[in-house]
Amino acid sequence: MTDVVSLVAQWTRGNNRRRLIEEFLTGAATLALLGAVCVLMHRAAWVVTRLGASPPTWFPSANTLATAAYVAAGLSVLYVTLRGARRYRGRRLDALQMARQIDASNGSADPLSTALAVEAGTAAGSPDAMAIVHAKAQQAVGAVTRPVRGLQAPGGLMAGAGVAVAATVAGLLLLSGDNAFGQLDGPATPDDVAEASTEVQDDTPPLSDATKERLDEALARLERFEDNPALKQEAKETLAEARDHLRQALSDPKRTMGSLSRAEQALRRVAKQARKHGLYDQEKMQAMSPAELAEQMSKAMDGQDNQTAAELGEEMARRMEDASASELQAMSRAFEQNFKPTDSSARPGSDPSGPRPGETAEERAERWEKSLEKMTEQMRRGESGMSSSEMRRLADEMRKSGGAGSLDRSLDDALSDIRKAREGRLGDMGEDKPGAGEGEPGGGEGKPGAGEGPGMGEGAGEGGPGEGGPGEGGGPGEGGGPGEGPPSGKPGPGGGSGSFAPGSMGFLPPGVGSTEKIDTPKAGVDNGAIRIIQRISAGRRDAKGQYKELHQQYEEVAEEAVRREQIPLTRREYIREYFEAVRPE
Amino acid sequence: MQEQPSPITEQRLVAAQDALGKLKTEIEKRLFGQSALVVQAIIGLLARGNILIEGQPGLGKTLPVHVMSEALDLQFSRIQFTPDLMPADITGSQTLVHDEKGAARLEFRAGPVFANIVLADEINRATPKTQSALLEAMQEQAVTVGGARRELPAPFIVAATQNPIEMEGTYPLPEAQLDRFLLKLEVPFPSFETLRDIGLHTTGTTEPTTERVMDRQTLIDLQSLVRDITVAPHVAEYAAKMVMATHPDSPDAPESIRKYVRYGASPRAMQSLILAGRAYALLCGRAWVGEDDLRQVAHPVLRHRMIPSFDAKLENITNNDLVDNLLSTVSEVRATG
Repeated sequence: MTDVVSLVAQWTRGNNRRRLIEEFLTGAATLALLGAVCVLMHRAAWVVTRLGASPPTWFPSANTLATAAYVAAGLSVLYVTLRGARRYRGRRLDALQMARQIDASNGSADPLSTALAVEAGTAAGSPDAMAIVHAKAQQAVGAVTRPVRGLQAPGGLMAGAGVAVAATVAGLLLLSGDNAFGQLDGPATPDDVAEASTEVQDDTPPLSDATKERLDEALARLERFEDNPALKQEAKETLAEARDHLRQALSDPKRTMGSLSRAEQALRRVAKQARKHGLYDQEKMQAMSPAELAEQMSKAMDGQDNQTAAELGEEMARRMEDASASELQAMSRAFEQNFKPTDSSARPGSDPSGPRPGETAEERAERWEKSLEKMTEQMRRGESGMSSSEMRRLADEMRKSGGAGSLDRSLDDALSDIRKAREGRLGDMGEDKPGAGEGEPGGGEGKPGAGEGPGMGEGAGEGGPGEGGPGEGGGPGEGGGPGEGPPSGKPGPGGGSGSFAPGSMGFLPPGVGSTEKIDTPKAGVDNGAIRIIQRISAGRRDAKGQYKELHQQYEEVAEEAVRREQIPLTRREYIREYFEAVRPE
Repeated sequence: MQEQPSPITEQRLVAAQDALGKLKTEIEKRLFGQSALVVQAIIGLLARGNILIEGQPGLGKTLPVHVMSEALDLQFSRIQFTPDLMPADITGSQTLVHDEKGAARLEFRAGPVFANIVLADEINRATPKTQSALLEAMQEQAVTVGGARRELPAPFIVAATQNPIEMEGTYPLPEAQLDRFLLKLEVPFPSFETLRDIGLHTTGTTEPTTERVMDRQTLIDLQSLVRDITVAPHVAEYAAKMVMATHPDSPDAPESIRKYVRYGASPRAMQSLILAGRAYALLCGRAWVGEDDLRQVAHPVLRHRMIPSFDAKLENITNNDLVDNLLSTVSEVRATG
């Protein structure tokens, strides 16, 4: 006996599923159509430019159009979703409606819908009559060949949307040759820009030796941490990712710029991880035996990775505190094996308890070895407190000193290498390097300043009218930015740098300077652009307002140039990125 | 001992449809062009309901009732309503009679209401008092005379006629009495072809005769069968929606009802709709009622149960127009593809 209720319920589900798919297709088609309009809106300025016309003065800026396009896209999604839900609600059937629909298609007077009530026990009448109804319903069910209507494509709308989208895409691609929709996902990242610039150029030059050398150096710096057992797995993986990108940058010149950006981003993530959770895995270090700790500490000291050595030393000190006599003996043996005794006669006067003024790196290393030797002796004698406090002091000193092979320094140096390599690469590709020379109003007398900055671009200095002396030009371009200014007066403190000073990423502790730190001559008055930048870089709060104003002024000029002038697409986002990066908080 | 009702079977439904078809055909032999009227009259008969037939003079209001009684071999009586007609003239009365020994006693002499089919001709010409004499008979199939309640023979239906145009000297039926008529049938003016046939077949020497096609017991069985027809909740829901929508103060009432109706249909109208729908389903040989059955009987069931407003009269809006509007606006439990 056919169960009419189950059968109709099954058909109802099938019908509702199909209606849902239809609504989804209709929604997708509508969205495609509206999306095409949004894309056109987003690219309106570009389209006008490509058509050979210059945007009229009243024409909205690219940012305004982009914002409007995003808002329109959001509203479109909302509209299509709500409309689809409402339509589906109206079109979905319950079992009774489904039964009635089948009854109507069969030309019969409600046997199925009545049979549903009979099976549910809600119908009125005699049982005999109900049995007849049920039998009739079963006959009707048996005669149904296609209870659920097939999918109906949203005809004209779908076709219209498809044609519109295809035409839009084709038009944009034909006109631009760029990824016309890239910006719908958000502002282009430096990767996108770099990739775009490399992909469109078939005659990509090979990497120059200088660039290769930089990249090899960066790679070597990062490879040192490949087997560091004290590092967290997360940090290791991110470093490995950065190494992979660097290798790709070396092997594929077409994608060098993108790979470098990705490598830089990976290193930034390491910095973020360091700030948030630290890079050293305490649990791993706790799991190491004293011999392993001593061995790894010795290796770190040999590689001038004082930071790792400090972390390991800290763990060692913690163990010394709680160690029994036998454990201290074991540690003492481990120290003896890993830290060789020094020739104490070499420097009889050296005191291992603290740094001396004017101490060289060799002297410091020797002092540390003596200190370790002293600890070995203390442990042998079972003086856990003494050895522990000595180890803590040493670890603290090591942490402060950083060392050329420490992770912070290596990351900063690698970043510096990457940036230099990128700028060098831009030079390889014959691109102008973005640079901006700055000149300060001269103070009346003095000598002309000089701009500086690596790269192959040109830095242009501007001298403000000062009290006389030539302004100083400078910018991150190769060669000096010639300063210009009135012929007399003091030199203005102009200057620019094409490289990032080590430590700029915030890895290094205060006081641990970089070997490449650039000291800008402090001369002239305090209200020049470079001076303001210097002061804000130095953390001077009083310069904040001036910097903000300066940033806004320069950004407006740059934005205007981007909008009005024929600046290559691949450079526009670069400029915007720059101003975003130096935006005051 | 009461007879056990025979079970409803497919064959019984077919037989019922066949018998009713024969009855319809037999009645139509003498009624030209009144097919819809005949069907509605049969529905009233099956549903044990009273019917009110309205039409202009000469259209054949009494004939279908007369012919139906002949075809069913039922006892038929006709009461010509006049202003001087008294209730006792309808129900009967007790009269003083003397027996063989000369003793006097009161004896009930049944009135014309004691019949299976009572034709109340031109019912609106009698006074309200006399009209009311029919109320108990119509509702309870019994009359009370001299303090004694007397059952009327089964089956019993009252078929009343009235003339809609001659209003002078008439007493329009009160709403309470109108509501007791299951259906109000309207006799339309015949078409040209029908008029021609009437001229050809009813003016000769030989009058067409009516054969008996159904006996009394069969009719009673069919009336019982009607009550067994299945009604699903969604069908009852549709009927309830229709009745609710006849009330001008109902939120579901269409605009026309709000404007042109003073009072809507009563719950008895709901019962009448379902009952008439069941009868129509049986007439179609079905064991269940569909929403379409309700639509088929909506006009005769509802047209006399809505009291039109003054605006309706002014704008010449008929109750049929209002029912049409009701049917088009009250949504069914309709499938939406």
